[in-house]
Amino acid sequence: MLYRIEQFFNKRELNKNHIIVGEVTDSSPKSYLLLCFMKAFLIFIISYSSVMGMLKAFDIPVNKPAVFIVYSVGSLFIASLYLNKTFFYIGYITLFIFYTIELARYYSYANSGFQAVVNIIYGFYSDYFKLMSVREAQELYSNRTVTVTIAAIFVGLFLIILLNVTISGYMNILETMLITLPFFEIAFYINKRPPVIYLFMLIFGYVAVSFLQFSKHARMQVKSRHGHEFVRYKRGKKAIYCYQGNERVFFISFILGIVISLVITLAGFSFYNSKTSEIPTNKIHKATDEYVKIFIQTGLSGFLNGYSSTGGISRGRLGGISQVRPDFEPDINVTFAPYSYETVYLKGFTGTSYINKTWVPDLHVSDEIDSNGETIHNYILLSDFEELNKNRQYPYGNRGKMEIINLDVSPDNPLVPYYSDFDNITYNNNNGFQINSTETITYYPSTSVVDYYETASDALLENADYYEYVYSACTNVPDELKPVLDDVLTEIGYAPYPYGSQSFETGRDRLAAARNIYAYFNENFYYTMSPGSTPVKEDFVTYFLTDQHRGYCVHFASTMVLLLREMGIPARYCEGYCIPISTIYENAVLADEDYTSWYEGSQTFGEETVLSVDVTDANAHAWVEIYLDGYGFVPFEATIPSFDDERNALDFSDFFAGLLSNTIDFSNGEINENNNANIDVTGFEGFLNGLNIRKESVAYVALISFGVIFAFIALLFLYKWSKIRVELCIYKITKNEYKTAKCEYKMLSSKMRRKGYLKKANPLPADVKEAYDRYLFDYNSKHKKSKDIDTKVLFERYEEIFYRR
Amino acid sequence: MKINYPQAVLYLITICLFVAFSVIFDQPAILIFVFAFLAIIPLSIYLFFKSSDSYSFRIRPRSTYVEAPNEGVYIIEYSCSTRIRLFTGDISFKCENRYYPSDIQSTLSIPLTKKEGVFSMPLSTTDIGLISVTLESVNLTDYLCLIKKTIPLSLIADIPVLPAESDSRDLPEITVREGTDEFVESDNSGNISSDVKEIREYRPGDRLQRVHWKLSAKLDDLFVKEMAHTSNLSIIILPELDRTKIHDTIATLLSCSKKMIADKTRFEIYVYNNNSCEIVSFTISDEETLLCAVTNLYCVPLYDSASAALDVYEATIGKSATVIHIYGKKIEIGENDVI
Repeated sequence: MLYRIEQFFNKRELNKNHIIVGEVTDSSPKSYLLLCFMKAFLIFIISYSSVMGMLKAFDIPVNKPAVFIVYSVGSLFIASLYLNKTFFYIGYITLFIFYTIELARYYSYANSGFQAVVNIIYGFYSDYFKLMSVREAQELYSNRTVTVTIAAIFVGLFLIILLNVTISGYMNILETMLITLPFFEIAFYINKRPPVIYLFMLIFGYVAVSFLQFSKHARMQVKSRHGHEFVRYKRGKKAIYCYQGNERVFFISFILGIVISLVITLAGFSFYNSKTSEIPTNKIHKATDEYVKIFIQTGLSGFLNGYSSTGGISRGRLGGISQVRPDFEPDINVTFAPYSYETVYLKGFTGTSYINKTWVPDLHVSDEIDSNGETIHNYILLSDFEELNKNRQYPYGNRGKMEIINLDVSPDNPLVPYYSDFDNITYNNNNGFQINSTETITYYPSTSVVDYYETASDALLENADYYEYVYSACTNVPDELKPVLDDVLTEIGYAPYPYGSQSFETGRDRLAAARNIYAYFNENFYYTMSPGSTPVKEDFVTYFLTDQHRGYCVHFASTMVLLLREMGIPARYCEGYCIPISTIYENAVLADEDYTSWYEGSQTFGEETVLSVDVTDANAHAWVEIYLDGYGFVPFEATIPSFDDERNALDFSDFFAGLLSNTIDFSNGEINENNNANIDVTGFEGFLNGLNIRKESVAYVALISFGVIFAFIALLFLYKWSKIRVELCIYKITKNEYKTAKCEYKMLSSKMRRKGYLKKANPLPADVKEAYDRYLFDYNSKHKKSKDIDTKVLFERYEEIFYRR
Repeated sequence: MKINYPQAVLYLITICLFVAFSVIFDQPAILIFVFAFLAIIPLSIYLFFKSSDSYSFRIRPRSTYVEAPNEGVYIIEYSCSTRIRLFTGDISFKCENRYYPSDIQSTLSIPLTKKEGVFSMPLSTTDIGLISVTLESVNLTDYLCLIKKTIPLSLIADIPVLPAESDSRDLPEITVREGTDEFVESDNSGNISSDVKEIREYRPGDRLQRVHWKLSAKLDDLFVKEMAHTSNLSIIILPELDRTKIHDTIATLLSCSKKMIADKTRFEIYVYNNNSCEIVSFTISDEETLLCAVTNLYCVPLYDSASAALDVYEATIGKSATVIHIYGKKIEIGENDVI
């Protein structure tokens, strides 16, 4: 195919210029296999040294011989794809199929290894930056040597494929460095040094590639029946014929590379190992450090304030999620005795301070401006106040036991039901709320909200700090939000604190206020799991109240907390899992347990049974806590119900995201399942479902592909049609007689060829004239209005201009 | 010797970026890579100075002629007299069919890593004519392309492209009307002044026997002798090099000539030069002289008239001979001006 295209363009150029340079060849034979071997050697050296250098810099355990063998064989195979065109196409397709299948087979190992590497590196970065919290990725397997080796093999093979393009294909030093130097830079950034042998190998590779790039004779050569020893390309009007692949160039480059890298490595050994201060000395370094810290703690989403969510707890980060697509896989298994029809809340995160679109658990007390003009937020830890809350005695007279098995929840979010006895939380192992561990909790539930309608004495409030926390921190609203919140409160019928006439002393009043806000939401807002992300410059709550008017639990809970606070009612934002009665009916199974050992006291559920419920990420939830004197923070549901089945709705903006939902995602170690997995369909739709591809997406892709191709062809025709006419206009305006005549002649020839009057490949003006005469004769015999053109004069003019110029 | 500024600036900017990165982020280890890239600069320049003067280039056609649509192949050779060799040389060349003059420049980038290298370069054309390659200059660069040296070459090689062999069975019988066997070049050896009609510059296709070696040596350019013949030829072929029918004219000329060579008939080809308004004659006795004549003919500009050569011939040459006038596929035979 490519050969035919090439032939087509050659023929066109031959017609235009009457002469073309053919296949330039070197008289001495050359070994393409040897060239491939030498490129494979370079690819291996650079890929092996960069990956192993990074791993060794962080003392990450890895099986070196295995990596060595796989990298060398992989480099050899991938570089040899350039041996001939059949190898090239079949080899690459085979490689990608093989790579994908093997990655799918060993995915869990590779993922675990990758996470292990990430965890170790994050650990070093955390120590370097002295960070309090670090992202901890989940490792499925404990044998890091095996998993890291498998991960290194997969990452390395991918790197080799890229390097094959930059080295075998283009022989470009800058691209090669951009791909491989970051591995070393990860270590350099925190003063870690890869072993010198890898530095030597990498410098050798870079120097050799530099020489080879500028030699011009080490680029891609794909030999076959139609292959070229000299590649031809155009630079402006100039055709350049450049020789491809010369063994001697490689030999000389390798020798120079070895000499230079040896000298530099030996001479710069002590220099290489010198360490620098960990304190940034300039603004750029400092700012970069800050970004690196953000990246370590929050990933890329920390920069973009935008990420996709598959459900679960977001730990107070708001605004970035455009759409929630739960995978409906169980995150926890809860065994308990139901005592009422009310929703059971399992809290995993509490947000006290609302700062910059984020709920922060700790108490924000003040801001400081440092010497660089940057804002530093000062906090008091939430745990200091929560310790006091542990002493609270709950007066409801009921006692229950709950067991929570962590199936897929971050250990950072231990889940507890309300009114728990924090002194009686036990785990079946010593690692806390790790995956597959079981948490056992004793709690003292309330069966009805009426239980805390009336104000009771609250001994904890006598503690000045706690009082300050509840009635100051938990009623705090950022100043910039007040106007919007006040407008909404006025609309609801309340006045903002402290100017309003209402008082919210009792639990009844506070709950009534919350219900009124809920009613307002129900009337003016609607629930959706695809609200779209909040613009970066907008505040999350302000945007929700003024523009968006739609959202999911996080929107409603955050907004209600701030509205309540604006009214003077202490409130907090919470995240965790909820178990509504519908989930109990759908998912619960009877646990063969004695009811009395799981629950004592009054209940409104009607049956004395112990149930085991699988709680999925679709049950992840956000709600409001309202402080009621004497009872502490009690949960309140802020989210209005959904009236339409939006989960399967797919709008245009989302179809790209949902096109291939079963994607391997190294970042969170999960395979996201398709939401429509339960739909049982056959035929083409079933086939697509089997591949986890959406039918709508296929239609969109087909439509867009067709549109793009059609538009491209149309543009091409338009370009060709308009180009010559524009040129003609320009030549006419500039009075360039020769080029005007040439343009007209060209258009006339094309027209005659199009109409079928001109068949010759390389016609002379006489041929065109003859064709034009025949065309005019036919035209005039068919049309009433004839074209009266003296072709003799016309072509005599052309010939005069062309040949006597 | 010139500095390749775009390349040098790009190279230095890259190095400066690395240095800046290293300084800003307090990473001395990065400077190791910078040292490596700096170290190769003097090495590259030193090796360039050692070897850039030791290259010589040549070009020659592989065959004396080709028949369309075959490709004319040129052999480009280089040799290096030192052990240190450069990676690459960019040869600027121009190739054209002289019937269709063009100013298209091309570059041939060849490796110069051997003591001697030979490359073959074919030129494809669908048209007849004289295809020629002119090697104008060669650019030599160091290993990093930071400096370059341009060496002028001005080497030319031509190959005539003849029409493919045509069937000569339909050609009319040509009979010699008068002057049979009178065509004999001077038997005198040496340069007898009476035999030399004129001395002119060498044109591609001229026989070596006609080169005036002494004069050429003196004037440092090739000159050939145009001999004065002792008698008129019996047959003259007069081709009309009209632009519109050039292919057919040459094809007919060749067919006609080859038939006469096969019949061992000696004849002359008269070529009218439209620019100088002169008629140049070529005596044909074998295929070699025919090729020489055609090569000369290819250097003549084409006419825009169907009878330009005949008109001039009738007006200027008063020679008694059988004139074969060729125009396209049409052959007209006549005596003197009776055609």
